[in-house]
Amino acid sequence: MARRKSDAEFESFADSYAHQLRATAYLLCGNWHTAEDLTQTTLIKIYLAWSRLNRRGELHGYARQVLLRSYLDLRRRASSTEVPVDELPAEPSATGSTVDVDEGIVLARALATLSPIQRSVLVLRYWEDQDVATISRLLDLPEGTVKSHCSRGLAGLRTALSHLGVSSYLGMRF
Amino acid sequence: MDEPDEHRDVRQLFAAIVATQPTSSETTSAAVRQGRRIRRRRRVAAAAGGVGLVAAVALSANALQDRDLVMTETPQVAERPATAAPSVPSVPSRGPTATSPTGTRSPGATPLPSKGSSRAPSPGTSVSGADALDPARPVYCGSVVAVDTARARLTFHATMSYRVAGDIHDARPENITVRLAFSEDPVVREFTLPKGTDREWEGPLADRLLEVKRLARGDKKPYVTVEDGKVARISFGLNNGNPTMPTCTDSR
Repeated sequence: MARRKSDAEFESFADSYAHQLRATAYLLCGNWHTAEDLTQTTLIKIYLAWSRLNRRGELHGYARQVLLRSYLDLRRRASSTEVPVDELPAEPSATGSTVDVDEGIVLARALATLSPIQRSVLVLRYWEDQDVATISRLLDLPEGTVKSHCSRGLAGLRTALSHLGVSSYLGMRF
Repeated sequence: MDEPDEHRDVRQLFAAIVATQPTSSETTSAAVRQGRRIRRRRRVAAAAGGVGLVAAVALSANALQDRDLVMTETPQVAERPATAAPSVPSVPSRGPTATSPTGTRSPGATPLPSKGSSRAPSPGTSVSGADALDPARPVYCGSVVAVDTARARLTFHATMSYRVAGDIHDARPENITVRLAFSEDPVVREFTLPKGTDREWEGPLADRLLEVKRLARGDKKPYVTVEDGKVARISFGLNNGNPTMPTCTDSR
């Protein structure tokens, strides 16, 4: 009976928060499929620790931390087998192509130029509205380093947007 | 500029990025969605090892998937989620079974084209232009051997040949470089494919477009396009991948 109640609580949490997790995961990894996988991994880990977490009321913070660690782990694993390059190869010719490069994908490309740590810092700071102290704890980095990553990340984003010709997007002034 | 403005602007940028998520009806076939579900459930099962957990997490996964479908008409724009009614996990039906080149069978896999069926232009295949008759300018050719949506695995084969007076000659290059790029993922995977071998790549298959770009000698860009988890078109052009001059096509 207790187990059933616990499962129901988990389902309710997953229902209400999975979507936010997925959006954050996408900002981190830039790929919806990977974002869904990261979300799933996070939900599994939360479920495993559910009884402890639910009592302490640390759900969202823990979920954020698990997601972040899962993403950084994934990047470490991928780096040993994949060769990232700065730019996409030439687009295929138009015939039969289903590519629809819209503005958001271009913006995502700009975000993808940042290092995983810089991206993590920016996403936590500006998307998840976390303060520097919390980010410092989540990433296990000194606060000064977090601020530095934040500043450099914004500068990198500005440069990438400028190169992609969308520097004026949304009246961007940062 | 002051910090609140900066915060708002960056958040707006992130919201615009998140709003670009693909909508299911446009980009994802039922087979691909089912393949993803199977893959996730296998991972969940492997991680958890408990029936209760599998059921609980599958429920959450289904809620995600189903919400995707609901959101088809109205892409989400970075808002906090609304609570959705829990959905009931469904057991995916087994799709057609196919055999991979290694002999393993998996549910949901797209039936394979026969190996070598599209490696080289067959006699009578439309080949136009002077290039096709020039042994110094070989016809690049290859094929997707298998697309296994259940295991999210793509197997491809590439070869190179040239045609003289209607006869096919195998040029047998030592290595061919294969590049995989996804429309939504600005990371390129690059492999070297030794001659006479197939190569498998395992990972999430893109819904909209999976492009296998093969670059040999750096100046030819034939490509393979896989849409919705199926081999939609195999086209190897002579003019830098220009599909208006196919030397080998296999529409499935």
